[in-house]
Amino acid sequence: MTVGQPWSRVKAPLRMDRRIFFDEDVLDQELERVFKPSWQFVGFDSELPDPGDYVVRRMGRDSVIVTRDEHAAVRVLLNSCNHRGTQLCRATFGNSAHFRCSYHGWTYANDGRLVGVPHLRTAYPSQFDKSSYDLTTARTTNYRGFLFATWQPDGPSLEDYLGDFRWYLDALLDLAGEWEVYGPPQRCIARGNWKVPTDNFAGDGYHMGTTHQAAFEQGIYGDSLASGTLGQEELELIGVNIGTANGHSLRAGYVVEKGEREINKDISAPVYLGYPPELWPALTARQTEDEVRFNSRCEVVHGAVFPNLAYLSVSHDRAIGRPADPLTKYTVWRTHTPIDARHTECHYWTLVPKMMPDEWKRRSYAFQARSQSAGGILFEMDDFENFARIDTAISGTVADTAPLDLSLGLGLGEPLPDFPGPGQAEFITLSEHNQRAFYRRWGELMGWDALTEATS
Amino acid sequence: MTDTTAAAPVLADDEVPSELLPFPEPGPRRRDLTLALTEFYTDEAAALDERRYEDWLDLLATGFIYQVPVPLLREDPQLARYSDRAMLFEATKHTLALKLGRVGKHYAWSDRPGANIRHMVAGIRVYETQRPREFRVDSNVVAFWNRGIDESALVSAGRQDVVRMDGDHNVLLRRRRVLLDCEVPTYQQLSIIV
Repeated sequence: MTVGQPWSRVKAPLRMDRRIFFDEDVLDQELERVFKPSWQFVGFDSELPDPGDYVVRRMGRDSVIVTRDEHAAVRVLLNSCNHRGTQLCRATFGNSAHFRCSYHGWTYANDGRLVGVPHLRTAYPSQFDKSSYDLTTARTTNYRGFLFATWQPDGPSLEDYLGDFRWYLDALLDLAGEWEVYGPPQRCIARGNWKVPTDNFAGDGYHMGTTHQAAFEQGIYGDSLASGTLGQEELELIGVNIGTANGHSLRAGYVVEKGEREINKDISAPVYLGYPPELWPALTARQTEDEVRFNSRCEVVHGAVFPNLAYLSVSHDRAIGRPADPLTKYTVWRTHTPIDARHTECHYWTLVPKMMPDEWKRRSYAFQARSQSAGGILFEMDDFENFARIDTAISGTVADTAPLDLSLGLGLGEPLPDFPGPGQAEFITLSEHNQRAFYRRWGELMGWDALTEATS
Repeated sequence: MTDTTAAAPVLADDEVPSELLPFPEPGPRRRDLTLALTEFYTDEAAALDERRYEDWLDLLATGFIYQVPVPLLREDPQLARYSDRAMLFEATKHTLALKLGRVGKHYAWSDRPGANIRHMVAGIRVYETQRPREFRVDSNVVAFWNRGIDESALVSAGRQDVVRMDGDHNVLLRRRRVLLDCEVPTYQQLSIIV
């Protein structure tokens, strides 16, 4: 298999099998082979401030209760009673020390132990072992406030699973220290397979000029991305793509002087677009030198954590705000969880730095809600439109076997040996480098190459 | 152009409502204003459904804010059903003008082909607020959206508005809060301006 191998070794165009985007049997295999053993993102630590707080989420098709138990440990419990399989938690979030089944009253403590069985002593045989009916519990870890869970008890640690991507996650978070979720997440149901929006976030810079042409022409990015970065003609935006061996990815856009091909050679005066300039020295002080080299002059960053967590950080100003609103960054994390092969549930969490004033946090959140939420009528709606158009047309009697291509930028990117972070960094603005890393990892887990080299 | 839209700009719009302020609670009921506001909402829905977007935008105050709070599905039915902080969507008058101004662009993909939209507005209740000439108006809305064989959506919502009305019953919308009746909407449901 060739996808994701170094740019120098792969030249032939790559094609994908369309079935991976609509076939229910493929989804069944994905849930078993891709989702079940992977670390799946289930929410943020700051969503559960107190013991007993819980949120109900899904890991693949399984409903889970993500809760902080009475000893403050985060637990991820299968939301299904071990007597008849009844859903234990019907609400989406709340606070409870126990989860009592609505059918016969089996009751579980919020650490998953079965603690109550009505008529246990009189109506059950003496060999009945209550402790063998504790709730199925996922292996759970908290990485800097990000809660991940997996059904694989003896797989790699989250740190190993993140691999090279961990450096980038740290760098993004170190920019502003401690972060918190702004409000409960937004949710919506999108048409199309879960991999379609995930692939889009992993590294699709190619769609910007077409899908979002109207948004750019209308100037929704105000003085940042539109009409020359920072409104200065001598500057331009260049893209770096990083696809990692574990399928994670990052795509960053840097503001450089026209023609410049080195990123942040000089970091004597770092610039953090979307944050107040008077805070820039304080932001610099929190980071390592390499992190400054990564974060400074970075105007937009997005990517995906395999399998279905995606993120985006970019700024808006008065173009979608109030007349006096300064350029303000938002950072949104989102999951794309399959409902079936052709419908996807999206969760959106906007993270804000704890250090920023409330008024900045509200504005950062508002800019996400206005442009990039499920109702973001000037931006996100055109993406949803494409996901739906794909779903409408990707399958049929003849369409099933028509080609799909994944060759953009293949063999054309220049390696960036001096890039501050690890992984395979390619300097190329238009490339499907990151998507190739995603589908390569997907193929490894599925034991099935959905990507083939096109032969002429 | 209806009477309402023609008259709207004469109203003063000196204060920008802040999305940071809490949404006003309903004061005493004003049944005497029900008929005037029913006519206003009938005309407003017609402007949207008939794609007379300039007419519709003329009904919005400069500082207008449109919000769709995140629905909250909680165990206790007495607790708040909608977040006062998290929004599924939020828009200013300017954002809405950009949205409605897109339809002429042939690459405004999510707006072309154009959808058929129909708003049914009922149950209009008018209440006083703390501010003179400003009223809170609650109503029920069902809207249907269609764009071909596999693209239909029906959305049901409670709508809460803050309007300013002068002595001649000219009305401007200052705030709108859309309380969706479904916990997790589809992207099509969210694309409808309710």
